[in-house]
Amino acid sequence: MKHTIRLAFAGVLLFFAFAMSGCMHHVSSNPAVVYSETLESASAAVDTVSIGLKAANDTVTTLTQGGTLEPEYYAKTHEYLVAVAKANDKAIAAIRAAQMGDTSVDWKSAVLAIADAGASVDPSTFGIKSDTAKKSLLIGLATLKTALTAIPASFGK
Amino acid sequence: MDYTQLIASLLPLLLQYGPELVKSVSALIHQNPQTAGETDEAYIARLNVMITANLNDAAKNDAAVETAPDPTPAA
Repeated sequence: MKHTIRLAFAGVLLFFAFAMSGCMHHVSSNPAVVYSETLESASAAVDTVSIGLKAANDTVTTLTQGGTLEPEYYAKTHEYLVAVAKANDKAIAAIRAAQMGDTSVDWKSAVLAIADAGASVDPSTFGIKSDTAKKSLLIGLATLKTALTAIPASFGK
Repeated sequence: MDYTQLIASLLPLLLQYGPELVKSVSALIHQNPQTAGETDEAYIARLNVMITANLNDAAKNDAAVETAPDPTPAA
């Protein structure tokens, strides 16, 4: 239970860190420095989303293997996670291109699209009958949800 | 299986991802600021190393999710 609280606390800290990162005061006024700092924040954002995705996927895998989650709900949840992962992949590619000097790529929209992909479906409404499985799924998705919620706060819309 | 048992069964996952998340949070909070005396060029180079590392880690985790085998027990 202590570790659950630690993870939940990390999730809350994460939200505020994301929210703060978009409006942090930059010491350097060099546009190149500011740009690199912004890309670094974006890269940290997609990395954190990916960690949330992997944690969520491992959670539903464990629940399914243990018989707590029915296979049909694993399929629905996994489909949702893959959709968010693919949006995350597009953002990764856009940030890489921007890092390489492509000034035409709209990496910010690609990052915001991750939050849109996450919001397109609410996994808690999949109709999972088991109350226990539902609670476990919410815990497993908590980190991902926090990372997705923090994206618009940090990168604006 | 009651709630307490389920949390206990998920503890390995929480232990596994807890440290990673705290690390990500710390990185975001500190924002890897430019150190005193560090030139802009050196700082940008350092940031690029971190960007590449973050993106590579993210791509690896995404791929793990997308290619995860179906855990459904065989009928």
